Formats: sequence, structure tokens, C-alpha cells
Amino acid sequence: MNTQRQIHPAMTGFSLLSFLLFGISVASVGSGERGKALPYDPALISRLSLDGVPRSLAVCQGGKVWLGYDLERALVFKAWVAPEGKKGLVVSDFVARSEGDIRFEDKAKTPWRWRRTEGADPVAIRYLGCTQGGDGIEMSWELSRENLRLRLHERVVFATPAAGLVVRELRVEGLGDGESLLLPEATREKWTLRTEGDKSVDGLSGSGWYRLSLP
Amino acid sequence: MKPFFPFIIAILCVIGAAGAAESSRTLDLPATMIFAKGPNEYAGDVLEITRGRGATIGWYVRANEEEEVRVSIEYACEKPLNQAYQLSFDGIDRFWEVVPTAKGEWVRADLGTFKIRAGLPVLIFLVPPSGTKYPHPVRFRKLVLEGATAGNLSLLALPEEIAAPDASPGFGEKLGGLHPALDAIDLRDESLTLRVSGMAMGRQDELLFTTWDGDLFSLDLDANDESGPPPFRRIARGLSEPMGLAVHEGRIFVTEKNEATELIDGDGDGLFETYRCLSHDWPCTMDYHEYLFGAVVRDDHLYFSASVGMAARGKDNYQAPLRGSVLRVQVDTGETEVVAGGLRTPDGMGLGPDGSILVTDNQGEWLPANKLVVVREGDFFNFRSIPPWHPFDRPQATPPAVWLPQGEIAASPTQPVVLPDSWGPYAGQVIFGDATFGGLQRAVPEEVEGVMQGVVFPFSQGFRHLFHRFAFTDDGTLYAGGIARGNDREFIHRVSGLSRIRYTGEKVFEPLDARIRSNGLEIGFTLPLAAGQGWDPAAYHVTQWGYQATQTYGGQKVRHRAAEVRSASVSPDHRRVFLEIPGLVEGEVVHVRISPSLAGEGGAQLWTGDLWYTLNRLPAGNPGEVLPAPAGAIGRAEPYFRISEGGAGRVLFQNFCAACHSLDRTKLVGPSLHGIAGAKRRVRDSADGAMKEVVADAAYFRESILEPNSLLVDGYPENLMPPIGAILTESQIDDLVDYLVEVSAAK
Repeated sequence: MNTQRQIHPAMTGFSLLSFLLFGISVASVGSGERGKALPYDPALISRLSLDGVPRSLAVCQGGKVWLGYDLERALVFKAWVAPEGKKGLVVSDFVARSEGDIRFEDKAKTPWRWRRTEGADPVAIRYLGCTQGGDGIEMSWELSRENLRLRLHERVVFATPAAGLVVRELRVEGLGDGESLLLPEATREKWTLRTEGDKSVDGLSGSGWYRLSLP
Repeated sequence: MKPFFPFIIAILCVIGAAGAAESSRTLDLPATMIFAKGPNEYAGDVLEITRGRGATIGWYVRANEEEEVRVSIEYACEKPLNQAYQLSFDGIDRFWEVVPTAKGEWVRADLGTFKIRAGLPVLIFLVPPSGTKYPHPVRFRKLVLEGATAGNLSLLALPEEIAAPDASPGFGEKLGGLHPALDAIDLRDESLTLRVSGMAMGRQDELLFTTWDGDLFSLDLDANDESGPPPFRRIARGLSEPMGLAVHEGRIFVTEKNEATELIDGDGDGLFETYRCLSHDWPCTMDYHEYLFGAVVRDDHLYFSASVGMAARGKDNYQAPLRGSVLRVQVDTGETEVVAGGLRTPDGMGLGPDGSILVTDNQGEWLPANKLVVVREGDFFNFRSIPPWHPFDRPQATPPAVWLPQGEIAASPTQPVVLPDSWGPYAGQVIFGDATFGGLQRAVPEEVEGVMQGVVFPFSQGFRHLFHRFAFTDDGTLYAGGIARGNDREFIHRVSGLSRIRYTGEKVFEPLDARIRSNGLEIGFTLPLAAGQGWDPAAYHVTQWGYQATQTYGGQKVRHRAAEVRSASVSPDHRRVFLEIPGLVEGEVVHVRISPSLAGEGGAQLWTGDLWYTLNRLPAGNPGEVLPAPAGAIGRAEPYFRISEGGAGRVLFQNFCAACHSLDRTKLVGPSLHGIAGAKRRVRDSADGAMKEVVADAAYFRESILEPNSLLVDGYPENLMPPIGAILTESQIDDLVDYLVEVSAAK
């Protein structure tokens, strides 16, 4: 195997922070060949179209809660809890369907907004890809508006969070002083965004990691 | 000299300006004089159109002089339709939005003005929407053509079917076995279902391939000692329906359902943890058929194509923007460009002999036949939705380099690849597989005055798998991966998998290439012809035709006729034969069937005698040389071809049905026909969804051909079988039904 395969700059930041905020009850991972776990275990991650959203990705946390991402909008459009004894994701004919108790659903289709003193404007979004580490998955997007270029990272660990139903981590690169990135409206309403210092905020600023949790 | 009369005299006798006043400027095209009504019904002189597929509403018209012609239609339709009609006038398409009429009212609607060329028969074609059934009819009496010159237009009689010579494998019928110069082995692990969807060499001794199910496998060719199952190693998973794989400078690119992806092994452990989205800059829907096909890297750009959706084709013919495109993505920046448009199911993509991008496309809506195209910037290849949606859409589409007639040489063509130098006389030629027709076909494109065109030959059948993707090792060994359509696991097990194919160098006598000349076609052979062979024009059965694309499935052969072979001249080295063929027409396919009795040096027998040459450009100069035949080389007593009753049905079955329906108990993708004639069948009636029993008689077979969804055998889904009735003539359907009744009878 050629080991010169290049790494895209977007994909290098996955293991910068540990996942110490979370418990360690890691859900099972797929057993791959040569004794090493092959990434993208279908028990944890699905990259098939989900619930009518063609470009989507589903991640399971704690073995029971699923997050459904709309990759073109860089957001979770659905979070649900699998029925007892079931996976919570039904795959048929290369399409995935959620099954279980829906705890969050974004039907508003509101965008991410770039906020500064003059106001808050929606940004265009381009999905850049995903990386699975041993503990979770990280996704990246480019957010743009005119000359603005931001890089949004979001990661989800597979383990059950220490608190809350489900927890995600986010950070953004490229914001200037006094600028922030406002979460889509439905997310802002239902999820709680906190800084590394556990301060509740309504948007991302700087370049540190934030925690987004659903009670 | 062959006893074929010039086309216009013998086949299409002018019947005058039927229905029009003498020397009128107008010409009626009555509904009662169309090719075939399909499953629709007449009420007197009115055709009541309730089903889009299967009706063949067309006429041949001839003009003495070129002029502008206005077309109008007499019709009644009391309720709106959800799709437009297609009117094609000598290949130029317009759409007619049917305006509802008041109850009992007949209306004359203007369909536009077209230019009619002089001389050649011109096909005028009216194509209903592709919806399978409408609860209310469009009642249609006639089209009316109105020109400027009295007596200029005339309606021609419908052509009769050309009698085809009796067929045998390789001569009008699919080849029956492995090419004598090939050696193939099956690389199989019975525990794995490998629906190979992409293939590339990772390094010299590593074969990489993706599967439809979303895995990436590695096969160490050095470790594959053939003593047991190949040592397949899965190195990535979780891909979304990958249909293309390319390796470029050590980087791995995959075309997934909705994005082009680079697989990255950041820690060098041989597994891939990063799926970098290279691009998804084109719209998509949830349609199951919106694949990204192929993956070719050229000049630091990844090329692939985006197939069209299928789920809405019978409803509103909607397509997401840019479907049917060839796309190009810069592998570092992800910058995405549209290279070409108008493709349908462009399953195969490969680099041509000169580094060009080759694409195969599958017959269906807007594609009257399968095709091999050479992609150039800005090309539009004719698949349309309503309204025209692709930025490159235009009335005059780019012709394919090589038409691949449905059921004759292809059905679902796949990846084209160029044969390497080690493949003897075939080096530099293109082969491609077929996910339905099976085997390998061989094509030789050529550029004539800046226009791409060329020839296709049958090459080999006799493989276990239906080949989808290919990769060559440096020593010229071909690895070929098979795939299956549909979800029938048994079917999938039968045809999916991997084969290793080697060229042995054995000499095989067959046509090698074909080049167009201004006055005919020159055919090259792999071996010299035997002395005195090849000079008799009667040894070549030549037909020619154009194609008519329709918005419903498939399309018609246009002006299908026998061609005169005026002379045959053999080159001094006996390796080439020039066929002098007057009346070659640009935009048509020339099919040559060489008599199997033609012998090569040392008495070698022909492996195949079929070739199809697509003539897009007839060169102005460069005529072939007509040579005097040696004494006794022409006019043997025994005919070169035999035309007998009943053979047509067998060939039609072989070419259109046998890939999916067995005559024994073998389970293929469709139900076996073994012993069903006269027996009761349990079917689902599409009219009410109820299960019922029917007797499998001639009417049942006919209905199943014309309306495959109408009486579905229990356990089989809708739309699995293509509506081949739409591309067969009435007499062909009669032949096929007769054959089916005979061969499927209980013995």
C-alpha cells in the first residue's frame, strides 16, 4: 500500500482535543481485517441518504441516540432515540430511514449566519468531508460569503455523554474580532451551546471548541 | 451483383399525396397509416391514445424540393396531460403541450415550422408522453403538413421489414463462447458477493476494487496463487454506492452516489479513515438512479458522469439540473466544471487511445440505441427532460462515435478500456463490457474530417460474470469485475465477481477494423483471406439505417434498408477488403454481415462476421480502390446467405430476452419460461393490484412484451423488464411470440 497518500488540510485537526468530557462507554466498533477496526462501522456511521435528505450522514452516540446530518446545510436535521432492542436505523436499497423516538427535528431550514456589528447574514456552505478516529467522527465544512471563508468543524464521539441526551462539539476557524457564527434557528432554540469554560452562548467565535447538547 | 434494388424504388414506393387534393400544398398524415398503434385502439379513423409506450406514430414523407413546412394536428383531448408530446421532424424535436378541448370539439393545433430536405425519405414522428397509461385518451385523427409548393410533398408507404439471413453465433446472433485467443479464470470467494463497481491498479501488484455495497477491496496479485479463494482484503467500507475508482499519483478517488471523494489513509496503516469530499457541486435528489459513473483522472482533473433519475420518468419527466453531465473536478481545489451533457445512464468511462474521454451510454429514453461517445467540451448527447434543462441542450445533438444497436451488440454497455500493446493485432482498440448482454465487445473509433465515428465488433462471450469495470496490469493481464442489476441475490451471485483474462496470442480469423472511404467501407482482417476469397459482393449482407430518439423507451431504426454492395476488392496482401457501397448516408449505421463461408489463409474459419459502422462523416475524398476480380472469384452457385422462415423469433429471443429469461430452469433476473406455454401463471394485475391466474398463451406473451408491468409474475417488481415492445416492429413481435409459444411449451 502506498503510504504517500496526501492528507487534505481540512482533515488534520481531529485529535487535537481529547474527549475527556465524555464517558468511556464506547459503543462497539466493527472488527476489521488484520485485527484492526475498519473505520465506518455501520453500527456507528451511515453515509447513505437518510430520511429523504440525499447528502446526509448519520452518527450513533451511546449506542442508542442517532444524529442525522444534512451535509449541504452543515446541521443536524434530526436526532432520535432507537427503540429498545433495535438499531434505530433501517437500511434498504442503499437508503437509510430513522426509526425511533424523535427528540429534535429542524424543519425551519434556516441557515448559519455570519454575525458582526452590521448585522447577521446567511453563509453558503460546502461540505469538505469526514474523518473517523477511534472515538468518534469529525466533519468539516467551508462557510463563505463574498470574501469571507470560514472552516467549521464538528465532531461527535460514539460514547455516551456524561450529561444530556446527546452532545456535539463545534469550532470555527477564520472569524475576525467581533465576529461570530450564529447557529441555525431550530438548533439555537433546542440545543444548548457552551464554551470550553461552560459559559452559555448563542454563537461561535474565536477558534476554540464549543459543546452543543440536547437535554 | 446482389439483387437488392435501390431503396427508394423497391421499399418506399410513393403512394401520392394521400388524403390531399391533387397538387395541393398540403399533405395529410392520417392516424390510420402509422407504423403501429401498440396497445392503443382505433375508433374509426381516430386513434385513441391512452398508453404512451408501445405506439409508433410515424410516417415517411418525401419532398421533391427543400422548403419550409408548417405542421398542425387534428385532435381532441378533454383533460390536461402532465407531460408534453414530442414531435420529431427528421430528427429535430419540438414539444407539444396538449391544450384541453371542449367536450365533443375537435381542434387543429399548430405544431411549428420545419425545413424538409429533398430526396431522402424523412421520418415524422409523434411520441406520446412516457407515462405508461392515461385514464383519458388523446383522440388523434391526423397531422397536416403545409408547404409552399403544390405537389412537392408526398406520403410514402411504410417500409416492409427487411428479411434477415439465418443467424448463428457471431453471425447475426450473440457469440456463443470464449474468444479463442483468450484465457479466463474465475477469481471467486464463495463467501463473498462482489458486485464490482470500480476498479484500478493501486500499484504494480495490487488490484483495488469497490463494490456496489460500499466496500473497497485490495487484492495482492503476487499472493494470489490460485490454490484457494483469492486473498481479498477489505480496506474501506461505508462508501455510498461507489461506481467509479481511480488512482492518481498514489491518491485514491471514488465517485459515490452524491459526491466525488478522496480516500485518505492519514496514519499509513492501510485503512482509510478520512473521506474527503472533493466536490458535490451539482444538484441531486433521492432518485435511486442518480449515480456518479466512472472515474478517470486526466491533467489533475477527475472526470466522471452523472446519470439521470428514473423514478419520475413516468410521472413528469423531471430531472434535477445537470443530471446527464460529464463533470470534471480539479483534484486539489475541488473546482468543478460541466464538460458535456445529454447522457442517460453513462455507466462506462475510460481513456481513449489518444487520451480522449470515452463514455458508453445505455439505450432508453432519448437513446434509440446504446452508444460509445468521445467526449469533447460542450457536447450535448441528446437526453432531454421537459422543459429542456441542461445548459448545453440544443436541437442538434452530438452524434455518438459508435452506435451500439440494442440487442444486437449491446444492452447495458459498461467501461471502455484500451487494449495494451501485448494484445497483438487488437492493441490500441477499445473493449467494453455489458451488464446485461454480457461478454466483451470491441470498438475502433476513427476521426474523419474532425468528426469521430467508428466500428464495433462482437469479441467474446463465455464469461461467468457480466463485466462492469476493468484494470490492466503492466504485463497486459486484464482483471474484469462483474456486477448485477436489481436486488435479486441469486441473480447477483450468478454474475457478480472477478475474472482474470489473458491474451494468449493465438491467431484468430476475424474482421479487425473498418475505415470509411468516400465510396464505401474498407474492412481489415486479422489474417489474410484465402486466395480467391472475398471478391464476391454477394458474400456481404449490408444494411443501413438511421435512428429516431424518443422521450419514451428506445427508438426506431429509420430508413432501415438493404444496401447495394457494388463490388468487393481484396488488397494485394489479402488482409483488407474494400466494399464499394453507393448511397452511403451520413448519420446512419452500416451493418455488414460477412458470410461465414469466407475462409482465411489455411482454411481458417471466421470467429465473427458482424460489424456495425457508424457513419457521421463521409469523407469528400479518399475513395477506396475498385479492383478487377480474379476469374472465378464471383458468382458461386450456392448462396452465401440463407433466409428461412421462423429463424427471426429465435434471434430476437437470443438478443432481447435470453439475458433475463431462461428456457430451462435456470434462475435469471426474470422468471424462467420453461414449460409455461399453456400453463397457468399467477400474476399481479397492474389495473387493480389483485393477484389472479392467467393462461400463458400467445396473448399473454404479447401483453408481457408490450406492457411488461401489466401482468407481473408473483415476486417480480415493476419496471424490472424494459418495454422492448416499443422498439420492435409488429412483425418482430409476431415472430417473437410465435417462438416463445413454441419453445416454452411443456415437453
